[in-house]
Amino acid sequence: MNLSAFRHPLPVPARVLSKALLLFLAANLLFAWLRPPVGSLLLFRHAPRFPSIWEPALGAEDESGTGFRRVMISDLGLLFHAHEISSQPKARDEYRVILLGDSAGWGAYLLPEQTTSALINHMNLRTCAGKKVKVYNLSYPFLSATKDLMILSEAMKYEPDMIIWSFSLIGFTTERQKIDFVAENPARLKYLKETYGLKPEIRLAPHIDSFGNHTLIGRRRELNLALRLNFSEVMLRVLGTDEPRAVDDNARACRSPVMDNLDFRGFLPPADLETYANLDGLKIAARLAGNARLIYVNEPTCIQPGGRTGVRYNVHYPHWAYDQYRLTLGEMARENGWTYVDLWDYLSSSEFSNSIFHRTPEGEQRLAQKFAEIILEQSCSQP
Amino acid sequence: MSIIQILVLTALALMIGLLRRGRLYGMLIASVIVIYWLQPDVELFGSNRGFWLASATLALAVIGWFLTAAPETRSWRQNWPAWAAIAGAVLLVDVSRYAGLERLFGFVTPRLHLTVVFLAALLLVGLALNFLASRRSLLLGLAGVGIILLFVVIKAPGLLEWILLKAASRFGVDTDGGRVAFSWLGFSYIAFRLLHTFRDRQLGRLPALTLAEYVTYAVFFPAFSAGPIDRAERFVQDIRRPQPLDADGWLFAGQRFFVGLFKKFVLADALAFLALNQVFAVQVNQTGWMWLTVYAYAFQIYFDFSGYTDLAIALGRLMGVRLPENFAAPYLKPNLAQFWNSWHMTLTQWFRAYFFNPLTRALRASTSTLPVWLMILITQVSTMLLIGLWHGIAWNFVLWGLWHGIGLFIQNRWSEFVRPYASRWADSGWRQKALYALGVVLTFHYVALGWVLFVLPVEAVPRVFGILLGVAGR
Repeated sequence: MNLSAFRHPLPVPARVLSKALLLFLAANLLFAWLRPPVGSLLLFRHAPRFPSIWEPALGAEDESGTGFRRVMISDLGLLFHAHEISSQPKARDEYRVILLGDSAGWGAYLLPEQTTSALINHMNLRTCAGKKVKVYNLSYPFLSATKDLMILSEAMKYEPDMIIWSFSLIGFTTERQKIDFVAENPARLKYLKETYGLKPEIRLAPHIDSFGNHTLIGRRRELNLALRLNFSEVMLRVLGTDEPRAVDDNARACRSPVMDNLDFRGFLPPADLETYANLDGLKIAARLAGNARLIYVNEPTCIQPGGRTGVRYNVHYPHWAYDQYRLTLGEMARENGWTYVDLWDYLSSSEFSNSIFHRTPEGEQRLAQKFAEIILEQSCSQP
Repeated sequence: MSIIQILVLTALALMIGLLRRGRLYGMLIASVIVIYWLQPDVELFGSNRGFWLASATLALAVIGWFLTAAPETRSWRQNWPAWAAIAGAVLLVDVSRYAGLERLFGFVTPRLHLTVVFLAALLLVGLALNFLASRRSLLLGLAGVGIILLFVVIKAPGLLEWILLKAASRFGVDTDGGRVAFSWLGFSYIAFRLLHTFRDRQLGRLPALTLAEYVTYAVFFPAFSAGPIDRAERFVQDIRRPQPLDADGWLFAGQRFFVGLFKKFVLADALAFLALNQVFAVQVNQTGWMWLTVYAYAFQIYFDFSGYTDLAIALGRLMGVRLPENFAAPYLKPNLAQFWNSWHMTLTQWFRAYFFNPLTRALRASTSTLPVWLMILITQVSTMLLIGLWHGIAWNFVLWGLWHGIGLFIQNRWSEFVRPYASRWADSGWRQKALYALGVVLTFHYVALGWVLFVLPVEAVPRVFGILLGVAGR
């Protein structure tokens, strides 16, 4: 057979293109078949708190004034892969405590060693049964009960003995159940709705677990985040921190007097709590926690100058809404037999940094002391 | 540019490349619309003026043609279709908002009558220049000086704002807080293309170009925002006899396109995380990490810039235009002179043709007493200083230009001095290779240290150098 006489029916560019398409298709099929965890692509794991991506930013993108832009990660798999909780199995003598919460719990503007979890771990606590207390910081920025429930549902795989969930009223408002983190986890939302009856505050396109979702194309966002997270982590290693921002002393939130304004996110008295917030997430958390001890904490907020005598406590909360919320929380806790700690005014105004929730290192130290007392007390009463 | 923008431009180039007739007009209309599409908005005393900045780019190109057009290509009959295409494209941009397409552009387009007035004024200015044909050489000289002055005003930080504020206060215009913030996309490149045509026209080297050819050359959309800076006489050859888009053309364009995308959006964007910047300059304390940021910046700027060049070459090739190469493995060159022959080549060729060579000739002609070494020092330092200032009028660019100018001079003298010894020592293959490798390493590090001056404000430089050399930080 004379091969030299053979003429391919397709021109060269079409052949190159068709081969490239075939290879791309094969790679997609193989990837979907193997379903590798994208988290295994992470170069840096064992982080003491969930990471976020810091990207170089110029001009208007540089919101933090650091030369970088922060991109939050909403992929639960990636977040847990990067976190120290997934890096080793639970030891027999470990008493595992997880902290859930928002940016204040995460430790915004604080170094990892200044956060509540690190400070408690530094105390080398032991429970009455002699187990070593190990605290994991699973808080992540944004006040949102649904986001916290999503993280809790994943965290239960790591067998916590105790869960301390810090929250605030804003986290239960309707708008906060629609944040990107929630919208980008449709499968988890579906699970929480179907299994635990989470109210459909957010309507997403129905989530279908198709083969296509597992291909390279289907998981492109996850892959993209993993790669960017790797580069961002190298950058943070260069800087020697995972928090390149610093608090501007001029931006201390608790210094300015509070305004006389009754508004709470568009609502005015005598609006009922049900019209602007939904506390059902607290009950779902109790079911998710199972046998683990769940401590509900109404997290500290700053009371701005004039806040106790005026109509508002601070920039976020008018008295009428926040008092109503605290009252309802207390009643719910009593009715359901929950362990509830109300720390709303536990810290002084000088112990807050650039928001009414973010704490200074001194504030964090005081809160860690309080949490340590709670952990010891509650772990000893645990069967 | 974003990937979406690049894909749109690629589709545009592909469609134009497939045209059997009217390809030049396709390129012209596309290029005019792309000027407006890519131009970011301008904040001028609280108003949006992005449309007018893009129009200024177009006006420069059109007036450039009126100034340089040869008599045989100046007739109305020959050029009215180009004029109609340009005016039509601008009007199309303007009326796009009536079709709900205003979000395509980064600014609010003005009322139609203002755009018509602009086009009419442009035509009138052009025709007036035609009547002054007898004084063309003087006009070209003045236009060249005007472009350079405009360049200085645009590139000197705060100068334009200062001038506008002064003018506004003089004429009682409300400045609404007095802020001027803008980036004139592509101006650095179009200015150098125009200067090239002005000078070549004065010297009688510029080929006769029609309005369509000239404007397409000046604002050719693949090379509009990041070069390369082609030469008009070479560009027009491809316009008149486009390279066929055969199998080789497809493969070449496809390869350059994907390589360019990979360089820009994978390598450069990844290295940007680590590349030296003002934050690292202040916060990094360790020598090793600081070197890492410098290396990352050196490769980031290379992959970013050469990636854009690859994309421009690919898009040009799809339309039958072979844009010139801008990079030839610059970090693998064994000395600084070769580095500059392979880094942003079209810019260095431009400066060589219009500054370095004329200055060298002038120095040789004007005095016989000037020693050769001083002549080399003057020409190389001044050329590199101007290349530095092309990037922006700031002290760090001055230092960067001096760094390279002095580096080139030292390398020139050193090469002269060691050449006999080096050729005697490097008498075997491996010794030649070792010498070459040593040259590559030294040249790369000299260039990399130069990037510190390039990327940082002057006050941040001593700390970075201190840490790099291990005499500061920890």
